[in-house]
Amino acid sequence: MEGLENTIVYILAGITISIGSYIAYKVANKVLYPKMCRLLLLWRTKRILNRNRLLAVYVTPFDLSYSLKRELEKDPLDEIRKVFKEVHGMKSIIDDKPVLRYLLDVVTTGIIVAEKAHELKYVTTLMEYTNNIAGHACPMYARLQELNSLILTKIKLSPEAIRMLIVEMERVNVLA
Amino acid sequence: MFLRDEKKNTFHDFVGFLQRISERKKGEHIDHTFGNLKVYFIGKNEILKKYAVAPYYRRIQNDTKNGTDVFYLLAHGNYHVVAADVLATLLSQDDIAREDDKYIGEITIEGKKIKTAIIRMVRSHGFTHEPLDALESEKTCEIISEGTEMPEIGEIPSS
Repeated sequence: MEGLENTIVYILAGITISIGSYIAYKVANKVLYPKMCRLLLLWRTKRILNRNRLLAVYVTPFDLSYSLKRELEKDPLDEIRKVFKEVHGMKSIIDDKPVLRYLLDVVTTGIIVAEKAHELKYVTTLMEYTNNIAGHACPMYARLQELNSLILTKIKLSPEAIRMLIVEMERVNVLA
Repeated sequence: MFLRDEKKNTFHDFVGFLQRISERKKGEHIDHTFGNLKVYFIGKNEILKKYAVAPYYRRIQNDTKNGTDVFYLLAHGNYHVVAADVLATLLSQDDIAREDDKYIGEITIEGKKIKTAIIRMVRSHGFTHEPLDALESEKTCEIISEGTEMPEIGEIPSS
């Protein structure tokens, strides 16, 4: 079953490339199991990392069940490690090279968009942890409750500018 | 929309453009154009009190005719937010541009909650108005550029 799930995920990932990842991902979120959505999210994250130039990571479809939420509150990193290890052939990025540290090194600006508060908390916790272990000045500038977004940027932007940036990025579907 | 047609580094250029907007000083004139995108600050009390939104309307009408496809209306404070909303409605009604994204709410800046409007508008395909004559356009631009100081981003307008 595990292999079948992975196969489906990779097929879906291929479709994702073809027809636009964000739309396909939205569809995937509706029809696939949460676990598979998580796998796909991680696949997408990896793909974005490989591009060496992150524009945005959408956390929106990241499905966190209640039980998972409780785990995250207890020890977010354990869950993060576990989820990363679920991906075939993929080592724990958290252990080997902190994801966000990597992002901060190569990225000028990135955006993490989430729809729910607990997803933001998840990301925030990850960033704070990364900041601590890496000793890297976290360039997170703003947390906008209204937009449910976190901005990873080394450039100071006003809330209006951040809003415009997010909207324009959504319009061009930069993840496609 | 507009990014797709630009070069590889357009994203970073756009961030730079937004940075300039974010860091502009009070009364400072900055280029509010990025490709076919423009940003309009609805923030001059004198203009709004004397002419309402007419100068903004005319300028946008002219700019739209001359190639602006996408533009933002930005406003801080209750009075200006209402003006921006009215302006957007007028532009929509006259089929000059349509609202594409709209945020009107409070944004917390340096601990203060400020009523803010961020309205994205896209030029209507059916827009066929003739451009204003040059003199009138210049006057309109002049009125806007010589208006009273507009509030900075993060500053609460006195009105």
